[in-house]
Amino acid sequence: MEYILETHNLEKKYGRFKVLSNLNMHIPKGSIYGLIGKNGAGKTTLIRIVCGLQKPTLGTYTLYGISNESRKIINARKRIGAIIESPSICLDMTAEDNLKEQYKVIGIPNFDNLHEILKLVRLDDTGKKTAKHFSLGMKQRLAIAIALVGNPDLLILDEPINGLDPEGIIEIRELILKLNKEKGITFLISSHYLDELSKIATCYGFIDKCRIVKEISSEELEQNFRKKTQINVNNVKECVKYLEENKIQYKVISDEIIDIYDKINISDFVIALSKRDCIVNNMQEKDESLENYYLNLIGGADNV
Amino acid sequence: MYKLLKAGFFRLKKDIIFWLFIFITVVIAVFTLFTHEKDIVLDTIIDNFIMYIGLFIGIFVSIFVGKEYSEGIIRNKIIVRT
Repeated sequence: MEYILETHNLEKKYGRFKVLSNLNMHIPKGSIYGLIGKNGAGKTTLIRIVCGLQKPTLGTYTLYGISNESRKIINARKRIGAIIESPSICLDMTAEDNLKEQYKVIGIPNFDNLHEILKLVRLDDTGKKTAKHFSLGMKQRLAIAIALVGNPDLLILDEPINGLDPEGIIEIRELILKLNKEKGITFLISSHYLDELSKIATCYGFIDKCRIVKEISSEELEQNFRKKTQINVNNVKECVKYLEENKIQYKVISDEIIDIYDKINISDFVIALSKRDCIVNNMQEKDESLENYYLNLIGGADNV
Repeated sequence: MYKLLKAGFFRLKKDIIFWLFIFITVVIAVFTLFTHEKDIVLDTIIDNFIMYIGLFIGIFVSIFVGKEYSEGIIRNKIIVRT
């Protein structure tokens, strides 16, 4: 598989304080890579290092196969677009002028694609409105538009949906999917909204305690999800007895609800329970969510 | 470097405070010319203006450059052009 970005044993220290250590990450071409981790796990530091805003203490990374120690890394960085922390836009200028400035910074003499990009992020009808009057969603979309100037192959978005309303989140999500499919742009997205991320990402990297704990593709992840059946009974004691006798994996959630992780024959199960004076009130099959997987992986119990 | 300068000038042209300060300095210049007595030497006029221009440049540059950092525009530039 071809990787756009690889890091090898990356380490970053602030004084004695370690932020990243032995970090290995691989971003395949054409994927949407979701970077998941706690606050302060080192997501933003990692992204800042990749963008060249900070230097790693130890270790190397390669962008498009070019090592960060080589001088050609400057050319590689021209092919990435990034939004880090907050959208970096000039608030006194209109959307069009903001884009024009970025064209000039990159050094593209004409503004050929300008309206195309504005149309893509649906900001083509803002006219003379300056960016300070934009809503947060519009600012975020403008920031993506700025990052798109110069046809990058890799877009790095640091928490792109923070503070957006549901509609804004859907807009950003659709924009990301559209860009990924139509233009083949690879994405690196860090986010706390696991549900949202699970709708778009094709690859996940879980970052905890300064390193990548696990890298997994969405297909592998789905296979890893444990299916569970949640049942609501009036007599938990009897039900637990039955489950113990038949060696079925279970977890008692409350004094009415039990999660069963093994596959069971439902009609046999209900009949057996009713013989023991235990009535099943309701039964649901549920997928384990990304959230649960994440908590299991980084040891949610330790962090509670 | 030239590209960054070009982008800077582009932003300067769009800046309201820049045009406002230019306007104010011109108004002050015209005002002093008309209010002074006729036997005034060129030297004193220039001295006067340099004082005002220096004052306005001081205020303007700190706002203009500071904005670049507070709004995070500088990050875009560093990423593209390091």
